[in-house]
Amino acid sequence: MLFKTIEDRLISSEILIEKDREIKLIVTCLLARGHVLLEGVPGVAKTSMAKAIAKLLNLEFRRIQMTPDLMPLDIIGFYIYDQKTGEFRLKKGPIFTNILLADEINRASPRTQSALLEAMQERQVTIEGNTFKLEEPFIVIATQNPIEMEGTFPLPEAQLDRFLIKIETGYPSPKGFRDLLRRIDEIEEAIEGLKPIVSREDVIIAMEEVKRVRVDDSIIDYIASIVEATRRHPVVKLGGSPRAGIAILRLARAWAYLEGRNYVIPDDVKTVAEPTLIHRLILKPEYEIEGITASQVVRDVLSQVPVPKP
Amino acid sequence: MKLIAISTLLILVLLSISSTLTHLYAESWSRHTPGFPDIESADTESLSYLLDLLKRLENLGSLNQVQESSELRSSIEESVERLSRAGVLKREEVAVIRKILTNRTSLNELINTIRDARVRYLLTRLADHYNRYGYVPYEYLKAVISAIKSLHDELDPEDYLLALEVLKRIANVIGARETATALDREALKALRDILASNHNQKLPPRIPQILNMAPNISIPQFETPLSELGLSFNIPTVTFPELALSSIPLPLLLLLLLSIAIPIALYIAMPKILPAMKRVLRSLRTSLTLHRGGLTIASERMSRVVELYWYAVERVSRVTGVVKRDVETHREYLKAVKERLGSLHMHFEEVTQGYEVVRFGGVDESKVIERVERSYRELVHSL
Repeated sequence: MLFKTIEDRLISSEILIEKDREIKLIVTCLLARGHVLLEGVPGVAKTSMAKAIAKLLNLEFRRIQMTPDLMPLDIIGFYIYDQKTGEFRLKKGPIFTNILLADEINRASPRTQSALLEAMQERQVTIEGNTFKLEEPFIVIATQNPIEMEGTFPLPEAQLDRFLIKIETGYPSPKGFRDLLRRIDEIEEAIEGLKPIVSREDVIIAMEEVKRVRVDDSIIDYIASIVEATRRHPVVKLGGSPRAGIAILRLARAWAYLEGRNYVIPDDVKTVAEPTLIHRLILKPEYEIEGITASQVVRDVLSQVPVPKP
Repeated sequence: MKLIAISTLLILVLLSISSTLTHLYAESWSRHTPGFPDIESADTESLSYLLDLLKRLENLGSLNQVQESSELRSSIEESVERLSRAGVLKREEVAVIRKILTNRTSLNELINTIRDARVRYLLTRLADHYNRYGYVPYEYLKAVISAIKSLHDELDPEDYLLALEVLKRIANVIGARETATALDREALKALRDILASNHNQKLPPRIPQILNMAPNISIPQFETPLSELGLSFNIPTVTFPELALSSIPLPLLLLLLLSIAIPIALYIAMPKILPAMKRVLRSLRTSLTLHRGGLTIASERMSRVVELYWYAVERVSRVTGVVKRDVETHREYLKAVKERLGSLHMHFEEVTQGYEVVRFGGVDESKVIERVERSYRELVHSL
């Protein structure tokens, strides 16, 4: 029901053109209490998507442009001396929000990246010895430009693992692009004019309900088989970790919930497996050079692992 | 990369097999110089003397020259004696050579010296015939010559020389001069062969070997000229055991090559064939499982709804020809058969949904069984 409404408001009304898969995955990730790594070239509506979702879900939205000179305090906040009161006042950083869009995370220094990733993991920040929990729901949508390598600090594999999913978004189709150009002013006004469809509390309730989505033992076995199969794949140097299995499980539950079911089916696992695994697999260099991608590996694994039977 | 590795492996395997088989089939060679006979430490002076003797014999036209010239005969006998003392010639060889050269040995004694029983028999019969009737028909003599010729490869050189001498004498007494002359020349060559083989056996590698001299005997009215006896010095040839594939029987060689080539071909082709085979086997397994009486998957513990679903899948797969693969979910299969089922699709969809909620949703089947059974009956009735 929740996504149906989102779908109607954003997709059917063509406010966001050809972004249904991305929007659904982001909402799924939010409900699964995960974070998103969104990879795409500049100008493919990454910010617009995050902003629109935040508006519909009545969540606070902040955007940080990551630069090499950005300091950790610029993200988490700091204490500032107030001359009037004579005390130190907390100035919270942009991380204190529900949906944080960290644009071009690979441009920030490793130190700043670590500060952000730690906050993502712990869902709390520590400023000068004082710990502050981040308000739920909390999701970081970190973006990356796949083609810009100069002056960047690529996220190491261990840090990539902290993102629940990786979404690769690209250009719209020729028809979609022409629609966008024709209706750009209308689209921008529509995004600004979006009204919430649920409250923040409803989202939190939905997140709790996701935890109660039924997962049959055969589905657990299926997920484990998929992850184990990635480790055995001849193209893979490093396969999925147990964290990958947990990620698939959480995301499959959230996906089933958005589909209106209170149980997970094998199709949910198949759907979420690819965005969950592609950034966690390290391929052998000789195969990467040949152009084999993690997506192909995941699809190959899914075509070989039997679904639960009977 | 794979091709280079496989090619290298193939070459190595072929070389090792040929080496092994050659050692099984081929004669054993001396360890220290494969392909060469045992080379003992040689007395250079004696070998030179032997070589000199051979050269002297080479200059002669026939053995008769030696037998009829006492000076020549003595000289050669002396040389042979000396070589015997030096250990270059064996005692039995010396004995035979002496008997041949002296020309005083009786026919019977010559025949009795021959070790090969078959040759001895042939020549004894021939001699007996002459002794009884005072002559031997030329055709009979010719037949014996042919018989001994056919045994040439199996005979000791000394036996062969003795046989030639016997035949020569008989040919002489019956007036077959040309035959006797040819046999005489052949006997001289046989004598040279005996001496030359001793020379080559004793020869160190640095001393050049005696060249092979092809025989040139033309005997009138022989079916096969004696030259085809292939008389030559027993020169050992240099071979490389590891490459002596020609010593392996052809059928065995082909079998070996196939037994190597087929596994390698399978190894190369397997990555391509195996996934296809797996798909076929999986489909077959699914099909067999579904068709098996009593259905393995339909156990007492299984709910009726789940059982009905799999029966429905079996029916649908038979009718549509689309077999549910093991990697295919129930929803994917439903989508796959939608077009082929046509209007019946909704019944199968009802059964599939019932299966889903019971199987994965944990719903009590009593809530859906009636609907599922009805849809199943409709489906089966229509298919």
